[in-house]
Amino acid sequence: MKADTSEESILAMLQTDSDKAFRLIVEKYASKLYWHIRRLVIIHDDADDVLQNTFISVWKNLSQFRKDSSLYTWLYSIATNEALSHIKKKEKRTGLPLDDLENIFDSSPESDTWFDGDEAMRKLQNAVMKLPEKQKIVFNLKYFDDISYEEMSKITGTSVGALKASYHHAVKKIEIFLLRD
Amino acid sequence: MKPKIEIEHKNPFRVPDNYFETLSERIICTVHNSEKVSTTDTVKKTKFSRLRPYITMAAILSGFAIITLSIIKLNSKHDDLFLTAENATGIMNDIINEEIDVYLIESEIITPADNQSAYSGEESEINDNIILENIEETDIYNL
Repeated sequence: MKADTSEESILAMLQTDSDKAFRLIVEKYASKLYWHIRRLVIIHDDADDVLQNTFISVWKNLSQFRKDSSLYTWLYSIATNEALSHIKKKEKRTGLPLDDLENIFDSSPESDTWFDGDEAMRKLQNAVMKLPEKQKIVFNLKYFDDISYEEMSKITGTSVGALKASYHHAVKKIEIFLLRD
Repeated sequence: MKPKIEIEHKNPFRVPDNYFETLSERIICTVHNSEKVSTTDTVKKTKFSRLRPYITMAAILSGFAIITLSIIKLNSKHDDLFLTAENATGIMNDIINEEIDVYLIESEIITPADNQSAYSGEESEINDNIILENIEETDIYNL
């Protein structure tokens, strides 16, 4: 019998069997979190490392989860923070600003960067990476993950109005960047 | 609102084969391993923190002992030096006295009276006097 993996049942299971609850969380959310992280860090190996660190943080702090937000938004906020922290450390280590696909691929030791995008996708990715940090996260969450502004507000700690404005500006900047060439 | 420029909503990112199939197991393993590492660190820290005051005390006492021994050794070295200096002074005095004695002996002037008295004596006395005066033997026959 397949276990009930709804958020309510997982949260209820946390009280009685935290190991099993954690396993269900991993199975349910790992791939979604992976793609969210991957769009920020670009390199597969980096995304894998950040994902592992994310779930280590989740496990350590699971007992302190206050249920103010949904489990999903809580996981997303941890993943976002881990990804941004990783990017900052990598920029410091390499001395390269990681706002360009070429810089990111150069900073990666493996030859296969696991990126198959055509010219248009490369341009879009470069445009997104040139956005300020918060706008980049908002654009990714809205455009690629189709997360609602209300959930996004809990992930980023920003008001819905500010998020809408942020997304609007992000789109404008990307358009200008793509139309430039 | 989406960008006016329509870009095919294609995912340009790839993953290694079977990545997601094994992902959950790998994450569970990683999390459990990280727990073991942090528990070991805690145990190590606890042991160390319990022993730390004793280690600190032992280090302080060792330091005192080393400093004390060094001072004692230094003083004993200086004592040897003093003895050597005294010895040297004594030796120097002996040498000086000896030199004085030699000088005095060598600088003794033998007067004619002493000479005569020297020849008026026994042959052995004469020989002795010759030796003293450094007179050649042949010179004696010429006397």
